[in-house]
Amino acid sequence: MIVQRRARATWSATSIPAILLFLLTVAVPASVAVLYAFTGKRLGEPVAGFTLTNFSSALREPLFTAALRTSLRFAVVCVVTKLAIGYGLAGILTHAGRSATAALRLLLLPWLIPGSAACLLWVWLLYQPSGVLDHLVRSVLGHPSRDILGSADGAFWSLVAFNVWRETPFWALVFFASRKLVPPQLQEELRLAGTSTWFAERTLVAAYSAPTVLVCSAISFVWTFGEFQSIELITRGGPSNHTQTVASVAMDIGYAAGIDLGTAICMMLLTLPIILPAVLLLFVIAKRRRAALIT
Amino acid sequence: MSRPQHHFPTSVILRIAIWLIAGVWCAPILLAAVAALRAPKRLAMNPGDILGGEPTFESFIALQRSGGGDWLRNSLIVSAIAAIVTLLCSLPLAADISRKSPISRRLSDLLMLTYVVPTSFLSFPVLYLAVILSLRDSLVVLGILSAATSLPLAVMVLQAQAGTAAGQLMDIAALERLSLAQRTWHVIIPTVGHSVLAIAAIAFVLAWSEYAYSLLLLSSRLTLSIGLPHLLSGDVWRWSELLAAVAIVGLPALFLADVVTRLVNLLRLRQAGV
Repeated sequence: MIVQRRARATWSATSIPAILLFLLTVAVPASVAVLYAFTGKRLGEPVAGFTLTNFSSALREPLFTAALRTSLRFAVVCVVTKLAIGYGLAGILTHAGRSATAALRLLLLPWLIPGSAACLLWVWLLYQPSGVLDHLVRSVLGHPSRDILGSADGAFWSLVAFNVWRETPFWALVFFASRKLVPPQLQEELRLAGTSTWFAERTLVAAYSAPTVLVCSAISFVWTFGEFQSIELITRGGPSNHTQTVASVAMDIGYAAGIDLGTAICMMLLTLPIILPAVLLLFVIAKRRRAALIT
Repeated sequence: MSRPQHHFPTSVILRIAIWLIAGVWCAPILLAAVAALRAPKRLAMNPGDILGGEPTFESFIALQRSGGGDWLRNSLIVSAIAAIVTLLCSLPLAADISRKSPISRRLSDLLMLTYVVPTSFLSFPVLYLAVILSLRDSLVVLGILSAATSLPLAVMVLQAQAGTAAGQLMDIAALERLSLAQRTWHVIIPTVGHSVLAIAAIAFVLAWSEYAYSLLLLSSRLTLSIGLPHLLSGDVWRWSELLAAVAIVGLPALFLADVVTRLVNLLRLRQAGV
């Protein structure tokens, strides 16, 4: 009993590094962010009283509503595409045999190189008038070139394509690893019963992969919704602010335009009622499905 | 007499398909590596003309003169710090969760909140705190911030691996009155060794792609994330140096891909009970 109590106290103490890291890097900055949002603080100025002016400034910001719509559209399209392709790739990798893991190494390259390098690589591909794609279209195919990043739809779908290209391999890897959660004896029973591989994929593998897919959807949604780097480096929010997301607008206001941190943080806070319920719902469903599989 | 029917194995078709997909998927990076060997002046005039001209290493030399070597070194330092901090924080916590410590299980759920909050939301208060504490331009601080992103994932992977076996071994170790360091070295690390390497690799990758924190915190000691965009600023865009940088970072990326793939395969085999 004493050994167990001592062991339990020791075990709790070993969590202190993780607690400290979480407090210093997430909890404290998040609290400071909320303080900024409700007190109208600017960098270098003392804290003012409680106020909601930052929220009204954020809502009055002309780009905010459009950026919110763009962020949502971007996140939903990217997440659905990434997960569908990633799940399909995981299935191909599972049934393609051992040489597939060598192909997986190549597939992972876009995710493994630094994000800035990947973004600027796409600028090189799409650059007009003399990027790779432009050169291909003019010199090889003989067609007049088009400025893809110069049109609203072209810029948006270029960002979607980049996001899918970069992050899908990681999710394919996660799904590929999670497929081993399927109990081998169940797979064997299905095989002995003469069912097809496709039937096993649709029923057994899908059921056991569902919690992983749901959790990955939630994480991917948050990461994609808050995506800032690719917008900043590939389109810079253009053309004419058509690809501005909430994160990029907040960065412009908070960092570039007079360090109005309060308004910038309010913009991000206003997106939490959209992000949080979606994410929590996905986590809860994933937990229930995992519990159902165990029982 | 009917001819025998030969069914082309599905796995061969899938193998060809996955190699084709992989080839197309990493084609931009391979094209960049080829284009980096072209003369900088030819690339400056026509960035899209990949082939043609004698291969040369001028782009790589120019990148080194622009500070690319310093950016790469700083990125490696930040990534190494992030990997070490992630492991130091996640290993004990994962062992604790596997022992069903109630505090640690709640903490694990709380850690997942890290993924609910986008980095761009936290970056401004982090900037403010860094200014107050005079911690701007610190690679160590950036490494610690990057570790926070990979910690929840690390705990998720490790707690699945630490499991019951490690818990029983830890009970025996406690009865034998082994110190924490001895328990970590003799029980935890052998049990979760492969997962540790996988987590270190993922923490490394997430850290060297970190952009928002780097943009706000670093001004003189640049990492690759914020150094590379300088190559495409101003009147003259230095395509050759950018492509040389992509080719250079592709090499450690290939090594990391090999490590991560081998470890995922090992984890799959262990999960299958092999």
